[in-house]
Amino acid sequence: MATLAGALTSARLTFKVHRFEVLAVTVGSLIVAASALIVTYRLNSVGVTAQCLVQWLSGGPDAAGACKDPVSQWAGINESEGGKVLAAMALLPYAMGLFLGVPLVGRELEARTAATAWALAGSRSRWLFGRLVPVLLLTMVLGGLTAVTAAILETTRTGDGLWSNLYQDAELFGAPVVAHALAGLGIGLLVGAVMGRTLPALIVGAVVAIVLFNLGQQWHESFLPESAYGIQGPVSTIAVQPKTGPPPSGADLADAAARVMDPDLDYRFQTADGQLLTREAAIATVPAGTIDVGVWLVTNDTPIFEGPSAALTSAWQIRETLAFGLLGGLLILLTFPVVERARPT
Amino acid sequence: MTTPPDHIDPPVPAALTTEGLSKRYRSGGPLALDGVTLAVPTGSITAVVGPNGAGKSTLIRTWMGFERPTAGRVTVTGIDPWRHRPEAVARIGYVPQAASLYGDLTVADHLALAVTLRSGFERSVAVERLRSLGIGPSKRASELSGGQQAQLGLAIALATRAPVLLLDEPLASLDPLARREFLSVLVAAVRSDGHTAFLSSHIVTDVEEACERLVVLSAGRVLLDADVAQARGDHRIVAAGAGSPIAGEVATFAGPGDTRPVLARTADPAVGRSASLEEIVLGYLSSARTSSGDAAAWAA
Repeated sequence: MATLAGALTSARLTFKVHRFEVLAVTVGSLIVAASALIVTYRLNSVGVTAQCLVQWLSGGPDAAGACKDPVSQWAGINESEGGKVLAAMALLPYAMGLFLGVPLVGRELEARTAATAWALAGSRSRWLFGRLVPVLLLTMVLGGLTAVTAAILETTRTGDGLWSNLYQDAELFGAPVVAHALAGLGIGLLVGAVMGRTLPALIVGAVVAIVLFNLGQQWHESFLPESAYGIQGPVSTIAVQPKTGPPPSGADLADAAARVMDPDLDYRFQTADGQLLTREAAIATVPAGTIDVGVWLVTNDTPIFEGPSAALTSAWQIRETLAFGLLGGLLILLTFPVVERARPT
Repeated sequence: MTTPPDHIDPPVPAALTTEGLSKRYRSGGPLALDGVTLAVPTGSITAVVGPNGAGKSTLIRTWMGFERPTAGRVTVTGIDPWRHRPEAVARIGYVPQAASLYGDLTVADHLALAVTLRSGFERSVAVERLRSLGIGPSKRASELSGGQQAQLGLAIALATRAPVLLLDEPLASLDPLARREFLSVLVAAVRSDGHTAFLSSHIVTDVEEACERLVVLSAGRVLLDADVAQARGDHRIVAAGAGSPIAGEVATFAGPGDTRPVLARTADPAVGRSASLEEIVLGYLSSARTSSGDAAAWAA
């Protein structure tokens, strides 16, 4: 009980000492999360159906008919508002980690309060742990809020994977967001402890975070299946000519059939009556005894979408989460020996 | 078997020691401490005085385990503070300079912080002391006067119930009244609880009444380490003519006309007049200055 009371007091004092950063990060996260939900609501309010998106994607705006105006409006909101909010969400986890991490030790050294604290605390590691836990929890909570709201927005923005594929923004929603916040916290904490000055540490930490973000992007692209390269916009997501166009033949047919069956790539099949089927549903329609299911699907159905699969997106997110989470954890652990050896003034 | 004679007091164990302590902050740089050997007796109040850069804070910070000695040995109640910092720090109540408090935290917050960080911290002791000084719990540290900040630091240090108190320039930013109040609280606490206190200061007159021992430090070297009463008894001010040497001369002060007051190390009451502690300190500091390399370089 006494330990819990001590932990709560320690958390209260930590938040009080760093109240500017706590307030700024909390308010910033809430604003961005609210913005994401508002944009999601606005996108959903347009009432664009998957069928409309398919019509637009397969035939262009002129072939969209009654769907033309709603899809145009939907795409406009998506680009102008959704893109900006998601960009803010990409930066937010690093920013929150840096903002909360840098002053935790850095300002104590800069303001010379470390002398007071470290003279009272026999163990500096215990002191740092007491300071770190509430900030870590806050980072996780705010990072989690960003992760969830980003996932809601991203699912809507991509038209559930039809308009653009989820893989492209895989690191911007879900668990990787929390890992980015943890990495930002680790960078800020360590750089602040090493430099002992808040503003220079924030600048250096921001540079390190930007480098890390770009490295993550490159790693992300290198993880993409070869056949999915170059898929950027809605028009180029049409992988195979629709039934009305010339059918693939020879090597093209074999290549298309192989891609259609690649588990790393996501395909939607447009049936003659305009229905959209997943690969599994489409395979179920293939007559029994068909030797090459892929060839049959390419020649008898209309695949309209090619992009990394949800499984691949999840696999990437797990890797990204582990890599950044472990990096953040490692940097946090490295801060402990730095603090043990630091001069308090 | 022999028993020690009754009239010989057993040696007082040293609460703080240094043995050949040297500290260099960067390779090739000057020595902040140069072969310092000290033993601060348990239960004493000792002041270390010296100019800026003498090494006073470095000495205290080395005992705190904040600085790693370049050479030599350091102990706090027999414990090496660098190798066993948690154990050593647990035996120290530290009063840093006033600026080391959390400006945005209230007095009560500082006490709450101390409770979470130091096991055995007696909040009631600190509350009682602060109440008697009229320092309210809801005031932020930044709203306190320099004297009140110093008193808050001292109250926290005393409430740790640590046997050793280290005070780093606690009087530096205080007005004369606040200095007197601070020292009276310190002396009363040390006398009643049997603490050992070691404080650094610039102001000799203030520490004269409070301290039993005096260490004069200059350029990282100990110039004088003595009991205050003994230091007074062992030094005299002698008026000498120009060019005439004085036995035991420590330093010469500027004087009117051809006479020059000389601080001499002699206990002979027939010689000159007794020296004040300030004169003793100034004499040692001026002797160190004239013999320092910098002074020689300027002379050249």
